[in-house]
Amino acid sequence: MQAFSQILLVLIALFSFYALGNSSLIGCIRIIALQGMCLGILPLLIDRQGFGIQILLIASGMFILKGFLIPRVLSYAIREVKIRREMEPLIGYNSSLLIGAFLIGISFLLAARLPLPDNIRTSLLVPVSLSVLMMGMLMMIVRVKAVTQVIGYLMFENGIYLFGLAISYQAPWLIEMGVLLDVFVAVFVMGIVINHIARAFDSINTENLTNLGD
Amino acid sequence: MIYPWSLPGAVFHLGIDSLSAAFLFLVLVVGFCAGIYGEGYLSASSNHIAKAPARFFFAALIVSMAFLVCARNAVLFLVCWEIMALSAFGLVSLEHQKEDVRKAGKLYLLCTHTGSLCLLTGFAFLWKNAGSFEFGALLAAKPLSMFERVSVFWLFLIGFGMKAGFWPLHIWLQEAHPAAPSHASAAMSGIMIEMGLYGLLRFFSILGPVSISTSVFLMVLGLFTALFGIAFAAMQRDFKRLLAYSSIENIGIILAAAGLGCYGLARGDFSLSLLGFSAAILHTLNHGFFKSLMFLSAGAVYLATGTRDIESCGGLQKIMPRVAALTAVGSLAICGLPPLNGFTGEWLLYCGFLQMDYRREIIFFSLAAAMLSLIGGFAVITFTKFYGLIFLGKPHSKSAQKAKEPSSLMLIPMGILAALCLLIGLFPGWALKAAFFAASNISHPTPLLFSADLQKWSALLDLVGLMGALLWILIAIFWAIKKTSLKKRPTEAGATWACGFTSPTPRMQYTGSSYSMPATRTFDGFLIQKESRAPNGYWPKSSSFHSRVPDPALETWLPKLLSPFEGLIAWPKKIQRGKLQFYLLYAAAFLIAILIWKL
Repeated sequence: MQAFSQILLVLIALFSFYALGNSSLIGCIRIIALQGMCLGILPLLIDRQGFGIQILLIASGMFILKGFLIPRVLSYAIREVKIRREMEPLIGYNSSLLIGAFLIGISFLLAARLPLPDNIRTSLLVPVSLSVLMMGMLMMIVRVKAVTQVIGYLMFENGIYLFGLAISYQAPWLIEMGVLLDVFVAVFVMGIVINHIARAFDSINTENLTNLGD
Repeated sequence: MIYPWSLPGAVFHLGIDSLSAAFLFLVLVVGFCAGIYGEGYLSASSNHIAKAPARFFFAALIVSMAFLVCARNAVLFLVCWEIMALSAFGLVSLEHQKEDVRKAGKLYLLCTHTGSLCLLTGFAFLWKNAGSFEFGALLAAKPLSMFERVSVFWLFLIGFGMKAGFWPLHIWLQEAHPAAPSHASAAMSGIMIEMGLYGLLRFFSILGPVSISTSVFLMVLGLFTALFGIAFAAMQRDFKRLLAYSSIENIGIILAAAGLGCYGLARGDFSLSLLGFSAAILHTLNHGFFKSLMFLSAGAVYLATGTRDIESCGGLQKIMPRVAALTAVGSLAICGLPPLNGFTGEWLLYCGFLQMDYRREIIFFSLAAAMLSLIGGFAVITFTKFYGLIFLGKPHSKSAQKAKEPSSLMLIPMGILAALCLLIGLFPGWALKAAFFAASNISHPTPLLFSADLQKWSALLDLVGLMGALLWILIAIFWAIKKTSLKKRPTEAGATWACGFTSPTPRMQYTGSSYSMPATRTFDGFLIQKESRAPNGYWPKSSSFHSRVPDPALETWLPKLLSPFEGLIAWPKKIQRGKLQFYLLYAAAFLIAILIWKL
């Protein structure tokens, strides 16, 4: 079990890494869906107390929401605005991969020095969560299209979820559900907003939003 | 009255001494008149001005000033100061749809906050020394060190001077006063800028005597401010801007009088300092009354004609006789001419300058008195221009012909202010007494000296009032003689300034620039910018003449002074890109930096 969860965590980090270097929006959405599914399975694997009804519910909710519903909303959004690729990132794909690798290194370094409670479930959990978090942030920073920013945000949120998983043994499931609902609503709203931006500006480049200021 | 207050160092401590009382009287009387006038003004100006914010900010302005003069705690003082500054900002930018109003509001806000910053720092110095924000504790604290004294003095001079409008800190004044609605500019010009002087006087009373050279510097600064203000006033076309510059002049005169008071204190001559400070306070009171009267009548003219350009008015005396009469009273008072109140304060100042007990500075003081009379001469030119071009002659424009008398809601407050101007001119004794009591708070004379001086000066001033009354009687007699002797002969009324032409047109009349030209010719070329196309050849096609008077402090020197800082400001501008990605990057960089630093 332990080994399997480690593999899963590595996969999650690699998915983020892959999304950083991928210019295809559909590819990114698929990756984020896969990452969401892995996240959904993860609590089942690392819980030492076995499967409770509670944990099953959260896992299945997570699995469905992050693996199916949110990607569905996002692909609906890009189908509507007819955008396939992120063409003009602020930082190129190769450089973002390099920075991503650097961030993974930093997060391992930080995780080693982070004062944490002793009984962490698996050693990889904290560094992976930090690196997913940072890569999500990186994605929000270097990409211009609104859709990729939403994907970055989702990745960021996944990182936060992982971190939460690391410290809390049994997170109160009401709160978990609340967070899930929040994310879903946020993505739902963003999907609609993206459509509106596209209609107003003929593009979903967030740089156009700058023109709304003075 | 003392109430506890949860702010650190603050106590809600109110008190009245004679200095506060003099200013409180001014605030309440002018605030009352301008407030009532404001109601008439707002209802007459139908839709130009948003009414609710105008009322709110005006009330906040008056109340904050009333509390300001009674505050006995530095924190309370600063809070009132800030409310006053902000509500005045609200009043200035009431008509924010106009570009120049927005600009004036921004400039005012910048200036007032620079001043507030100086005051805050100054009070911090005092607090460090006394350990308390109470005025009483500040007064009783041990004397400041030399460095602290000098820095506190300069901080307060800049902070209060920014509000009062000493040269070259006046830059906001001539922009903000025309931008505000007239009752607000009356309150701002008549009382708000005088709060700067109140602050300075209060500060003198706390800090004690300054050195002789500093007081001479204050006098020179005051006289220069006055000369500068009135010279610019003489050259203005916009009549509210003219009045704003004239406020700068009067503030300068008051500062010179306060400087004289400081000089007396520094010399240890209490009767001279008493004279100087009471001249300052008396002129403050007078200025409050006549300047707000002038702004109110300027507002009436603006409402009636829809223009602030002196050249497009004219002939309003026949159309709005009541406003004309009240403005005439205000104009005479503002010139500092004998039968009205403006003369009393200036006369005290002349007496102070010419007392000549100090042989060493005799040249300086006679020059100062000469300067004061030069200022008076300029004032006469400015206000004969103001009155003559607005009210005499024939209307220059269609809008001036269609003007009509304002409602009595506007006329009665103006009448009250004019009556006060007349009363103080005829019976200056009671105003002098108030000013003397207020001044005794700063110069701390012995009671014996105080009562002797009060008796001496009030007797002299009563004589001045008596002469004023005689002058009125003489005028009445002459008028009666003229009436009766002309009764038998046929008379014919011609157009004003017709100069013998059979059919003069309004275009043949004096213009403002031509009227003030002889006086302001000295400033040609370096203060006045002219642009003219002279008529050319036997059949000239078109010609034009245009002159404007930019304020050198605002338009030339300030940009030069600030240009080194532009590079400094450009750097944060680069950070502030307005792009979402950059802000995210800053947040991420900050987070990572914090993590790395802490771990």
